[in-house]
Amino acid sequence: MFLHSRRNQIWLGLLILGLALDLWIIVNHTPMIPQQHWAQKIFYIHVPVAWTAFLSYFVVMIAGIAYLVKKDNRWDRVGLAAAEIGTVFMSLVLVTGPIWAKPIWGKPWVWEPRLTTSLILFLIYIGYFMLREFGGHPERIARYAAVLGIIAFLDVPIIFLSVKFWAPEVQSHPQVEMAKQPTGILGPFFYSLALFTILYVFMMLFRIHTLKLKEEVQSHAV
Amino acid sequence: MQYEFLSYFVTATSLVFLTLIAWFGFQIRSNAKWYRKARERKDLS
Repeated sequence: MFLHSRRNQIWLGLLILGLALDLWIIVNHTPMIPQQHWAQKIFYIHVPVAWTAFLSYFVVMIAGIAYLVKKDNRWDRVGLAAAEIGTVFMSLVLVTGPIWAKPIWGKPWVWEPRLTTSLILFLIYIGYFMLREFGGHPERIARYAAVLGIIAFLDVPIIFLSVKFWAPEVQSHPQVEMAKQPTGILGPFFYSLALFTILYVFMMLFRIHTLKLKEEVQSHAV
Repeated sequence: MQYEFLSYFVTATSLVFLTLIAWFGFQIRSNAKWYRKARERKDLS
């Protein structure tokens, strides 16, 4: 089993400690921003979660290309694991964003470019899982899923650049420039970002391990 | 006010961490299930 390995147990322990430390730093050692107060501290979690979701969808795209080129099932497993984990993180983005927006904008959701394009990406991946479930022959599912994963990623740069693409009148999203942030924000922010990236790698290895076991069992059962 | 919007922070953070705990819970269960099946198959062969 994945967690029977000593190395994986150590990594999991370090990640739990790292996340506890992250929370402690966010609560005790980050500046309180006027007007936003505690709501602003959501961003130390929200932005790394969003980064992890986009990174995961990038992996889906890479795995999709690799699968189409090599026709190797390993890449299909990588794509599926990344799509699942990416969608878990994307759901958290879509939940934590409105929790921040409610006290700051006065309403949890506004149909502005970044929010709308993020929701579209999430819905594309709901479609991706429907295809995985009902797509027919496994080889065909893998091929279609690879293509969909590549196309879906086109939305990520649109989300990223949406605050510049659309006219300022339709924007509600904060147009953050890192260099202009008050001191004391960047250190905890990058720590959180790095930690979520390591957590993502660990989650990927765990999920791929399970998918491989499942495939081995099912291939012999047929 | 020092504790303004604290409940929003607590809600958002709790949701993220509870989701991660749930994910690991499901993965541990799923991993154990397929591991058991793989062992059963090896025992049979």
